Amino acid sequence: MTTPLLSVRGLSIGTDAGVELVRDLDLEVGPGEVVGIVGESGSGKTMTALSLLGLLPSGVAVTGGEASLDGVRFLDGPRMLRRPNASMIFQNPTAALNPTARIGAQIDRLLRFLDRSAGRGSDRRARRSRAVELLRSVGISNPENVLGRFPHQLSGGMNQRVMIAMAISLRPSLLIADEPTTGLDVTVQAQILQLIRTTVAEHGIGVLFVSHDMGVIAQMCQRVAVMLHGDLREFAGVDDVFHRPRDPYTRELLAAAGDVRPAEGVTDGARAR
Amino acid sequence: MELVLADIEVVYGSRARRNHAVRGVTLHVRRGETLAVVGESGSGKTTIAKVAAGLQRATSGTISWRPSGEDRAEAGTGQRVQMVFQHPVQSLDPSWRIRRSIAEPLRHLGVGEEEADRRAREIVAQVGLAEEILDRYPRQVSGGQAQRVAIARAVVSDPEVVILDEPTASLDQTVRGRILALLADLQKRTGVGYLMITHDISSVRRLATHIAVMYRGLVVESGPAAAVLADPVHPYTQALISAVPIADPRVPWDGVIDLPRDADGFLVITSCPVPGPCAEHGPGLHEIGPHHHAACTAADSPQKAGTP
Repeated sequence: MTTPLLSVRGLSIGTDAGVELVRDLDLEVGPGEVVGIVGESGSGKTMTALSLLGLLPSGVAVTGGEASLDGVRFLDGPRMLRRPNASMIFQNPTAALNPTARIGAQIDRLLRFLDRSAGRGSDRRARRSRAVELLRSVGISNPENVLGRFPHQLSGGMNQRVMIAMAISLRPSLLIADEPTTGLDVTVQAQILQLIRTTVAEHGIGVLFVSHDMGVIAQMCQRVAVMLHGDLREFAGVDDVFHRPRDPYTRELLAAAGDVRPAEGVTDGARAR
Repeated sequence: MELVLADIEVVYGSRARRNHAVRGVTLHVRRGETLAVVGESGSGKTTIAKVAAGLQRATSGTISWRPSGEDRAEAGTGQRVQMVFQHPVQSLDPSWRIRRSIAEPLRHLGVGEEEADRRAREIVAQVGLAEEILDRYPRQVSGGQAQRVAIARAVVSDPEVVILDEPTASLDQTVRGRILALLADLQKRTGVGYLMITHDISSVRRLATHIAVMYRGLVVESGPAAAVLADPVHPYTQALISAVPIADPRVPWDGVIDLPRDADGFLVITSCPVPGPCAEHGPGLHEIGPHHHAACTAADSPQKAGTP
């Protein structure tokens, strides 16, 4: 492996009451690589993702360890040293967007912020055409129309496309995706996964992909971290995790995800009654 | 007994804003079998579940019971239909101990308190829970335990059919597997029939004996689970099955859905080799294999619609 894009060493997260949520986690993402974190409720996978952007809920904090992006340390124990060049997309895109503002206004605000922080002038009409361009790049065929809508007027899949467009507009070197397709219909999920694949490949972005779905993990990731109750149980290439799992818990996850045909004793017995 | 929903139509809303949620659906749920109704948002699958459970009045159509070869010597004593909901904790009364929730259906049937308590303890063991749980409140149990409680409540009165509305959607994957195994085990023991509403194809593979695929209020394909999964004929069924990411990195999956979407976000069926307004009203279900039907005119010919 070359120098990792994201390097996390000994990350620990806990609550103010002293409950350990994540223990001594080592993780890395290579440039342009998609790394999955898989686990169930309470495994610490979402806390890990949130901690990298300083987004932990109140009462929860990083208690140890460090993280670097592009070779620059940005997290040192509880201290966030700098804002990493990373964007995040969330499980419920409709809730992640501002419900009181039209999509156009939300994107415009982001673009204005980008222009200001780059110290360049910002022209309203130029921003508008950039917004149209952005939405088109995430497969939205009627961007003008979508810019005039509120989030609740759009489907979950459409809102997630908007979120991806906004995330990409920041030109991040790392995208953190926390269950980005959970709750979407399967055909919508397929299209969003495909969009994430092509977008990150096009921009050479590394991805930390949090999911509980072994099918999604198998098809999206090059390496996979398996977490259980705050511990990293296994971190290996996707083929090893699925075909040579070393940890018993990984094997349990795979068994649960396996497609067992109904013929195997399940319905036969019922029919024989 | 066999639950028969025939020609069910459901229209929501006023005359000005009509939503034709279910457009002439016929389903059979037999004892000992699991009919999975699969589809996406807006397909009408949840509405048909509510109709079957008596929670939603059908605009037209009939719901009836028909004797079947699988009938028990003694007719069931309980209510014929029970339901298990998607959000297990929310489906239980938060102010009731688990004991009371489970015994409630029996109380409705006039079963005495002592007998109801005995049956509650028995059923709790059958769904793999310790007896102590009977004294807890819903907030004191996990999601997986709450779903076992909801299943216990559904089967305690010995119903003919249990309607499962996305029974594992809010559960973790390993818990999901155990709940599906429990449902299969209960069916094997009691012969209960399931009407399972789901969008999760892997649950369908595990539990279903029969499948009905719904699209915009219509059943577009139905048949034995193995036939529909292995040999889907309707373009929408094909899209639905191929959209599921395969849990094996060695099996390539491109996730490409070739169908466009309309303004409401519905997939538009365009890949049918026979042009026509098929998606709007459908050509009606045609038999294309043993008990396997599809709303696809091209399916009659030896060359199937679309390629596998």
